[in-house]
Amino acid sequence: MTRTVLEIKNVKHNFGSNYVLNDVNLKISEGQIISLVGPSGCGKSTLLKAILGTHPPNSGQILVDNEIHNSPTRNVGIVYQHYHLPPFLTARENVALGLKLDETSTPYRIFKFFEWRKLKKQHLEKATAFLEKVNLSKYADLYPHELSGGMRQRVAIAQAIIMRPSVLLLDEPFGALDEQTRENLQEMLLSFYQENIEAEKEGDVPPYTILIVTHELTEALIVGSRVVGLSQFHSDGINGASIVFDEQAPIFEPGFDRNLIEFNKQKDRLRHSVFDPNVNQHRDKFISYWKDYQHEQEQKEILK
Amino acid sequence: MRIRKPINKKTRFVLGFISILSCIGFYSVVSWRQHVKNPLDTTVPNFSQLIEGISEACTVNISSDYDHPDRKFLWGYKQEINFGTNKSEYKLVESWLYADFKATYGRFIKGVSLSIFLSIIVGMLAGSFPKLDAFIRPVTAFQSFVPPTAALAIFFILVGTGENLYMAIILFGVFPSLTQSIFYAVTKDIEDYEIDKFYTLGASHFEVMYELVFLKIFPRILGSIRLAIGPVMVYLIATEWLVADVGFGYTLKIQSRKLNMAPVYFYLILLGTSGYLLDWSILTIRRKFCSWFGE
Repeated sequence: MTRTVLEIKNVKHNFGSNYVLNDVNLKISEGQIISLVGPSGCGKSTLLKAILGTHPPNSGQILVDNEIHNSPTRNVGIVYQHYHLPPFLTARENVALGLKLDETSTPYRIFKFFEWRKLKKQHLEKATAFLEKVNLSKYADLYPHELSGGMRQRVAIAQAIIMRPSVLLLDEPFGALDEQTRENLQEMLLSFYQENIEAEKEGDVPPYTILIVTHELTEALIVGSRVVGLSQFHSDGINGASIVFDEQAPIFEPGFDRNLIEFNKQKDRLRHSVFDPNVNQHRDKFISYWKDYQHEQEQKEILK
Repeated sequence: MRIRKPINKKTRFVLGFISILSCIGFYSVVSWRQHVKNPLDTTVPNFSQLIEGISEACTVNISSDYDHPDRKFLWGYKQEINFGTNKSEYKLVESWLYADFKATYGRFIKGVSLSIFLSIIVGMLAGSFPKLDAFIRPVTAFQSFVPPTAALAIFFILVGTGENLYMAIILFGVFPSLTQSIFYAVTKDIEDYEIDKFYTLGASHFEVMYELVFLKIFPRILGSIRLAIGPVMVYLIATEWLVADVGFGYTLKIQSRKLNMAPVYFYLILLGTSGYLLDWSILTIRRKFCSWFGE
């Protein structure tokens, strides 16, 4: 089994008497691309902020690389819906920004100016390579205001992945984009998944572990290797939202045909268990990811 | 014709030129009427009187014979003073313009630099740390409504009537408004998301403050400085008018009292032009270094 990079243990979060999160448990292994879906106002953003470390939970623990995570650090990356790129840096400088901040300090940049210049050149070269990865090398010297929304989001993603964070959080990353751009970026995420698979085949550590928060079910099923549903619609919903759905997604490698029958079945299941306010089942009913994973591993062992 | 219909550069230039010509024309008519009434009038000098006034302000009398002055265009020169002794002594005689320019803009630069420096630090910190904001804001908000010239007597007591007075007046007058505008720039232009993101990129607290907050609000700081230039000159000239023995304010007061208005008009044109050039320089800096900010 691959290494666990994020573990959410019995997380509860409340604002006064109003419980937003109720006993949330989730374990994420490296190389997984997880789609987190849920109805509006169910607490997805609260959970995301808790994972990011800006709003630690009232009770429970969030562990990143087996260490308690309660403030934002370079181990957890974030890409927001509205990009939030520093407007005074070009696309290339934006992508290299994390390397500069993470690998050097202000005194280093002042007192070891010439060493810093050499290092900066390397950072910019690396940033160019990452811009190529997201198909933006032609626009490397443009400022964010000169780029389209989709391009800015690509820069934001490159800016985050260049840091190789343990977990990358994508908060409704394609929410502000048109359909075509959205599809292109979804393909880009699938190519990351492809890289993960290739790395695993070669026995390397998969480079990307991503948790993508979205309210688009189709998107969740297309880009995720695992789909997790957070919802307050369960038998104990009065105490806040919890994980009510956790299954493998029918992820498609770029260029492969999609199994629409399985896709639609899962979508219906997801819609029923996560988004239907009349559902009053136990919250564990649709949680089967780790059981399925175990089963899959056992099958593999037998086949060996 | 419609509201906000754009105009081209040529039209803009021609209209601006006509506006300046209109001012000159209006002045000429008023001056001419005044000189018809009284040919020796100096309150609205004609152009030859204006040139005389300019020459008076820009030249130095290098003759020791005051009845037969020999004025030359010089910033200043060392005049030998001998009071029947063998020892040569010198005093520096400077033209009004040079002496006043040096004094006023020296005070301006010192006062404005100190105010900008303190405002940036306090404004950025207050915008970033709500506790500090809660501590500072009531005082700066109150202070911003007190005209510094009204508090001159207090400054005489606190800092005396020396050079520190001008710095104190400028600081008192500009610091609250500049700090507030920098504070608002930080709170409005910097979103929490951006700060969180910087931390996820490995930034330290100082790096967040400099690499994000300062660099992002830098064009707004320049904008606030541009707006502060006018009030700074008001406070400075008013204070010089009251207490200085050199400086634009002082010369304006003395020459106005003598009704020798030619140097006064010349100084007003100089103040306007230098203010305009300063404003233009700041705008150019902003265009050059913050092209991303737009106009």
